[in-house]
Amino acid sequence: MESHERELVAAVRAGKTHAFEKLLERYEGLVCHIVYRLIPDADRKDVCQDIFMRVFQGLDRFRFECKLSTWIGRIAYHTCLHRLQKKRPSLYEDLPEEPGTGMGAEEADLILQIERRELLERVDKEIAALPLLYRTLLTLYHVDDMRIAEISRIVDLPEGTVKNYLHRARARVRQKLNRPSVQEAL
Amino acid sequence: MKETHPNDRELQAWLEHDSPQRDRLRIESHLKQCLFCRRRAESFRVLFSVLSTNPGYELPLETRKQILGRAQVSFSRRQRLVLGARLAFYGVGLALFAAVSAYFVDPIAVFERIRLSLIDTRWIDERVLTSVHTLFLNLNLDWRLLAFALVALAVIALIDQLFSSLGRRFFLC
Repeated sequence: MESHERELVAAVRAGKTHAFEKLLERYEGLVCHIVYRLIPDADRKDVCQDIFMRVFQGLDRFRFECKLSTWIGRIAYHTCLHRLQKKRPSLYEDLPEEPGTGMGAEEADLILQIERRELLERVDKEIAALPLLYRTLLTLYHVDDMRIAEISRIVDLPEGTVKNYLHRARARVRQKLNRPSVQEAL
Repeated sequence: MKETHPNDRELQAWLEHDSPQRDRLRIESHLKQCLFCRRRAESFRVLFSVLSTNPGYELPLETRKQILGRAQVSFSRRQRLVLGARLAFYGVGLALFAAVSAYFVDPIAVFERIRLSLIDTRWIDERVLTSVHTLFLNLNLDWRLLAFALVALAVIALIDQLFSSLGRRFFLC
């Protein structure tokens, strides 16, 4: 895997257009997932362009100290944060655990009753309402299948904290899906 | 002894095979007898699977083309800079060498030695060499002035490189 990465990086550095196209194809998903979760629709294309240009221009400085995906993910995450900086979003908006996420004894498990397509839409909506950091963690861990160690390098947090926030994020999504308002809407 | 339900965190860790063995055994034993927790575990499992679904956002074709275009332009510019810098570097070296040589050595005498050597090797016809020699003598060049011009050109090329690297267009690169 690493030798492929090295070859690809070397080819891009040598100015082979098809190599950069390949890199774009390979990491488009990762970048798009992060951008999709963090950036409003109108700005997504610009941010994606910005991220890939930073990747292209910064590739000379990439020293293979981590996986290429981690490095690109890091650029994507920090570019998104930078873009959102004017709006001053808090990474940790209301992070303290909400009551009920500890065990969920009183909740009915509506998740098991909702059809998958509907569930997808609702989960998407609930994720969009989460703090930036939670959204990023859920995307990197579940959609991009990244390990906790890689994610911790991307978001600059210790592994234990990442794991902890990931648990909270999922518990919160589950809790919100099981809210009475959602139940009534069904 | 009353057995407590595992909390959300413990249940998630168990589903991901990330709980310590003691917790794992306790949770598994608990799940065997607790329908409520089995349903909780199942709902987390479904949630995990939904969370793993690709949100389906892809890079529009137009954006992809724009990125590739910008990368191409950026690379061409970098290549031009590298090439220009090399040329300027070698130019300065060559010009300095020429200047020093012209100051200390008589270029006509050097050329004469080269001409005689080439005549000896018989690689080039003697008449051609003699014609070139005569041409040089007739031009009556000021070698020091020529060397100075070369140095000036190389310095201009270097300044041009500096401007280009600062993102401003000058006139050579």
